[in-house]
Amino acid sequence: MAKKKDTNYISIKESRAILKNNMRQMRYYEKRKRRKLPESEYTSVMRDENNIIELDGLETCFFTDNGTVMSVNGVSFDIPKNKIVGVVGESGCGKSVTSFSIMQLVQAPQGQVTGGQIRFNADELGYDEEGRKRAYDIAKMPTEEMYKIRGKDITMIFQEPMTSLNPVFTIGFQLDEVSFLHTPGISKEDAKKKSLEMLDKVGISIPERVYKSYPHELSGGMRQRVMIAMALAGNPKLIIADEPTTALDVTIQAQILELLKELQKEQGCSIMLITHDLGVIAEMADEVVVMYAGRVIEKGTAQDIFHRPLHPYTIGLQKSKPLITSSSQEPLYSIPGQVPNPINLPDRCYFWNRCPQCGPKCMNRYPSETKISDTHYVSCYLHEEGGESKCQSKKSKSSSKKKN
Amino acid sequence: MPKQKKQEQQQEEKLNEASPVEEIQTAEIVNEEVPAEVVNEENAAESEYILEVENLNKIFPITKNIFGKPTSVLKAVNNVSFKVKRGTTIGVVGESGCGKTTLGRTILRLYDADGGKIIFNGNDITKLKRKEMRKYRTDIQLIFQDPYSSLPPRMTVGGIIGEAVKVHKIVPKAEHSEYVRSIMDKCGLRPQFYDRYPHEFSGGQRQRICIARALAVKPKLIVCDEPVSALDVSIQAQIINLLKELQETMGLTYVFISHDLSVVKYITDQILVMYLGNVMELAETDEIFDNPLHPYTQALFSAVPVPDPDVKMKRVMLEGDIPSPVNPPKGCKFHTRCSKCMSACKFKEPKYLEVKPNHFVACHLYDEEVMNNLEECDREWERILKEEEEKRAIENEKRKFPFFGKKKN
Ligand SMILES: Nc1ncnc2c1ncn2[C@@H]1O[C@H](COP(=O)(O)OP(=O)(O)OP(=O)(O)O)[C@@H](O)[C@H]1O
Ligand SMILES: Nc1ncnc2c1ncn2[C@@H]1O[C@H](COP(=O)(O)OP(=O)(O)O)[C@@H](O)[C@H]1O
Ligand code: SF4
Ligand code: SF4
Ligand SMILES: [Mg+2]
Ligand SMILES: [Mg+2]
Repeated sequence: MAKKKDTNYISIKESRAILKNNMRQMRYYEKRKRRKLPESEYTSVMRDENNIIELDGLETCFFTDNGTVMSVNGVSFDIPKNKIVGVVGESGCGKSVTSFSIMQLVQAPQGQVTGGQIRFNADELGYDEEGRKRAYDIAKMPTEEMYKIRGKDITMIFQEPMTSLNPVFTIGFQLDEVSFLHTPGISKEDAKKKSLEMLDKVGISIPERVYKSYPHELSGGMRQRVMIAMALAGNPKLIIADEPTTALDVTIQAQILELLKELQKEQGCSIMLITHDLGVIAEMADEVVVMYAGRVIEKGTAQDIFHRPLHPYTIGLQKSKPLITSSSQEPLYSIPGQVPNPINLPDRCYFWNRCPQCGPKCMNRYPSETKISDTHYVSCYLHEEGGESKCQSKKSKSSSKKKN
Repeated sequence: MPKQKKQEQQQEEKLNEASPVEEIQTAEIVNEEVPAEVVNEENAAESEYILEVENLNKIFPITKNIFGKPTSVLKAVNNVSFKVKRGTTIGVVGESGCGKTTLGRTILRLYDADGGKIIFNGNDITKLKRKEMRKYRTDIQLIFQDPYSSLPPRMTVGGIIGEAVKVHKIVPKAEHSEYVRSIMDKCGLRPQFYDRYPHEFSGGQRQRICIARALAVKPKLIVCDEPVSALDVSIQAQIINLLKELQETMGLTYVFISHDLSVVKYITDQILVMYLGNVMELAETDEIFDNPLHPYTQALFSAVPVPDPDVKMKRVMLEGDIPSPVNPPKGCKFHTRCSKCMSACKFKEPKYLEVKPNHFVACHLYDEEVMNNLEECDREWERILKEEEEKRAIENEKRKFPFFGKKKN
């Protein structure tokens, strides 16, 4: 049995069992989403009313033929109001799935939010009897109710704007559509005026021309600007930007990042910025969340993460990118191996087989989150009380080996 | 016997693929006979440079008239010149669509050059026919950006790496499998991967397979077209280290195309900055980073985000997008976005000058001839503007009164 799992082969019997389980689970969650719930079922209270979003133990699974992929596995972090929170990690770490969960856009029926809370601080809810700020819990919210929030209070910018712009309609038509959606009853002229205004705001020099063009006639940078215009149209409280500049050139990336930063200040919204580029994060983010194999392994302010990184993965990521500011010719540090696919990961630190400081304790169970300071949290035995000494011995051994 | 048949089939499948590399290999397999010495080999040993490119041009026709003659063209590579020393790396950087890939493919002779010379190892290979190119086919290899689509899905790893070895008879038949395994070992692939198929591997491992395939034919020069752009940071570091190590142990020369400037800085010895098909600046890596002269280079370098929240780069922000290469600006191609643009830049193409030893720039700011005669240029520009205005006025007039000319007569 154990051998079979190692080589990633699944017997017919196992496969059938997986299929059956998947069907049952998917049916259960789909049903739950369609149910009419009283509001009390999907509201909760914020821990801190200065946050716009609080993720609390979020779990999102994909029920695939190979088993259940735990793409997001107990992710908790806050997005404060008026702040930019950066989420980093290599591909497959669950960054996108986290953001899709917040938008309730996880690919259904195989993808489902199966646990945890996504508390969204909605103004219209007010306070409860004890004076705590009430919030929607997006994880339990029926699809019907979600339409109120999605695209209005929370909007999203994707990596490849071509996939989210409709190629057969003009930019103008699609922008107007957004206005119609947010302000029902708005006249055609007003919508157009607003669209042109938005295009001007995102730095498009001839809005009239772009208004009449089709998406394929624009460059990547322009399309991304149009996407930002659309995302801003409803005065959102949170913009989720999933790798907004990955497909762009550095010069255009600099323009887009500058624009995002400016607009964020001007509109007073929050941004959840997902990227794998630490440079972009350092430039933009106030707070940083580092993800690995569906879990948050370290989070803190940008200062914490870049000047006092603690988790071996965070440190490794930073060391493996050559710096444009240094002219060292030393071989780059490289993390061996690759990100594991989060199916049936055993209960131990998920980074153990790539970690230069892995100790015996790391194999027992997943390390819990340790508080280093008010803002800085890390999940690693090296920084857990009592765990240090054990890991240290192995650390010196392996680090000396690395140098050779 | 069945095994052989399968291999034949696979080979056929591979040949059917549209990529030009494969196309050329088809030709090679058909023309098994190699013609006798076409080029003299004598200067090979003497030349200090393994690759010299002189005024290279590549033009793509955009529209054609009914006779098949191009009516409008796109200059993808325009008068590019550089030299690469043996065992060093040249980086080619620039924004998307500036002609980096086209340059790489022209050097490989996957495209025919429309002017200029490519001198490989002392021999002019610009005009060689396919048959004659065969001799150099193994010397120059290519690594693609996308490790997912560049490997044939129905061939085993051993087959992929070994195919060209067989075709070009790099090693005797008896040593074939052992040789392939040794190459795999060099590239950090376990020997037991020999019989596996590409889809079983991650992006990083696939890129290793691509590198092994290129290395197996004992090349002298490898054109790497964005070899790490599709990979994760930690995998990037593995591949970059591998490329560097192989260069040291095997004396390889790389043409390294990338838009990631920090990687380029790390791996290259000299850097070629391109914009809309033209070379803007060429210098040794340390020199160009310490002392970027061209306004475009300055803007490009300053746009790279630095992973340190306390470092705030002084940005030279570029306005707008890269113009369309079909209809590039007159004069200096960069003048529409340049903050230092002068009147001379708008009509006069800057010369490509060596302003310091081994530091070439194409910008009027460093051309004394222009800088000493700025007023003259201003006057000239005004004259051009006036002329154009007059022309436009006449045309407008004509449009208003289509019989204008006739009436006057
Ligand atoms: N086969 C072709 N036919 C016509 N035009 C082409 C062809 N190949 C490339 N071009 C054009 O030539 C120009 C240079 O393209 P090239 O692919 O060399 O750019 P690049 O610098 O490699 O860009 P990227 O960074 O996006 O890979 C582009 O404008 C492109 O549209
Ligand atoms: N539609 C899907 N079906 C099955 N698995 C998926 C699907 N989408 C994502 N996953 C898995 O979820 C994990 C996290 O993916 P994702 O959030 O897209 O990563 P990233 O951090 O690169 O954005 C990956 O292991 C991926 O394989
Ligand atoms: S818990 Fe152990 S294996 Fe995991 S990152 Fe920390 S030291 Fe490494
Ligand atoms: S020639 Fe003129 S426009 Fe071109 S880069 Fe130099 S200063 Fe700028
Ligand atoms: Mg993603
Ligand atoms: Mg290219």
